[in-house]
Amino acid sequence: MVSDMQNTPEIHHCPILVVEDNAISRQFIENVLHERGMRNVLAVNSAEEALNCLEHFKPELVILDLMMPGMDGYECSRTIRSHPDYFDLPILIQTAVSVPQSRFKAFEYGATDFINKPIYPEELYARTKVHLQNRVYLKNLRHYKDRISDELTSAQQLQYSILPNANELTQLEKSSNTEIAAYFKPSSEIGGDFWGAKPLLASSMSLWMVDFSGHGVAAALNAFRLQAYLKEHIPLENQPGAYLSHLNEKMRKLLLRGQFATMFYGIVDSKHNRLSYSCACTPYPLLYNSESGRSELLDGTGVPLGVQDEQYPTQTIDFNPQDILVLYSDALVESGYGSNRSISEHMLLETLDRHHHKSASEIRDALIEMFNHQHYGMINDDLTLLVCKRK
Amino acid sequence: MDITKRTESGTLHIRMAGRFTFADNQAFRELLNEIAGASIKSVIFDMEKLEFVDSAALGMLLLAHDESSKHNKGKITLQSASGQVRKMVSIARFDQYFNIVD
Repeated sequence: MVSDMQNTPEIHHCPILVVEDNAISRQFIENVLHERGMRNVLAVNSAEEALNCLEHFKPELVILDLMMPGMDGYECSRTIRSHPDYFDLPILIQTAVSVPQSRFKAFEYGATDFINKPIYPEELYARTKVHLQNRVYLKNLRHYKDRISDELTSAQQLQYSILPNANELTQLEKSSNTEIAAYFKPSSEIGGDFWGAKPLLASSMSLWMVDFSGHGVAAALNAFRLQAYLKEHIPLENQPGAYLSHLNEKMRKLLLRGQFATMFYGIVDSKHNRLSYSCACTPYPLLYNSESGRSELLDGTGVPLGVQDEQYPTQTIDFNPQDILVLYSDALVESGYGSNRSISEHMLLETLDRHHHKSASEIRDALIEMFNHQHYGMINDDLTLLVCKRK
Repeated sequence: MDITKRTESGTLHIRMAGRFTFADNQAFRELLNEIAGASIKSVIFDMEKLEFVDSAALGMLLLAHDESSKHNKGKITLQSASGQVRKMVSIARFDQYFNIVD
């Protein structure tokens, strides 16, 4: 660490502003800094002049005398500090006044550090170095943070872009004779949730919802990879269970131990009024059955993908006109668990029962509204919701 | 999550309380080393006081399962899970990896 700090070559280029009315002292400080490799030192003889050259000189450190004719060092320090651009500019006060009260006052007026006259060259250089190094480290950290946050913002936009767009959805609704409404909200940055759908032959379509365990970049990368595969790949298997078993094999090779994905994969066949599906640890999907006039929970149990060699069974049920399928990520029922704000499957069923006669997007809005009401719109997990209603 | 441990005639009892989430990653990894320890013959996770598990927690339990079977210690027992924990454990079909007892 010490050698690292000694080798911060950037500090030699940092602009240093020296403010000192005494010509001999001014020359002395300038010489000390020059001799030790500081290449960008500007020395001025008054506070007024210092304030004038702030904007174009952009100092990284100000070495400031306290006692000067005209504006003194206290006032100068306070003026610099009051400018938003210089809220963290280090100000090193150098003075012959040795009473502690004057130091306290200087700190109050915005000073960062102190050096007493007579000035010893080594001490002046050491303090200069420390402040400039901190400055460089902080700047690098800020750059890094800004860059990461920019990249996460673009990654988040990419996450939206891998979901079916409005055009694709309209096409899909037409070809499969369904209405589809989705809601997608990643948590703070990026995560491992996504959904998708694509048309198959003869008024059917496949649809899926996936959630990779954990949050953040690793989960998102896995999500991108699987979504690309699902969109491009034409499954040989026409049974959802067989297809999940195939995907499970792929995931087992890709994922590290302790990582996994939960997934619903279904095929809506509007010609034969059927829905076949298979689940790998998805929260209980909801089905509104127009014949019975009741909503029910489908069996979502199954070993998560990527864990072990596994054969996933296919369930096949009736999916008649006006029937509704609702898929959701676990945030919907997990958030706020342990408080009375958690949403139970029972509440979801009730909401679906109450709104079943409405359009898919109205049903989606009703479910989201219930969720927001319950959580004041605050969640700390990705939330995905998909409503598919037969026409 | 709070963890209390005791070992009794070769069985490591781990009492879990509160919320078991990604935040417990580090603490749980230390637990994995103990599970692998030579003096341990079997492992019981007591989940009676556990209120919540997230997907990362399920992943960590699977790691514990791997660690245990790698060292031939047999199936880990998950004891007294209820509520959301019970639900997650059953949706994920954890009965295939663990002894699940009331």
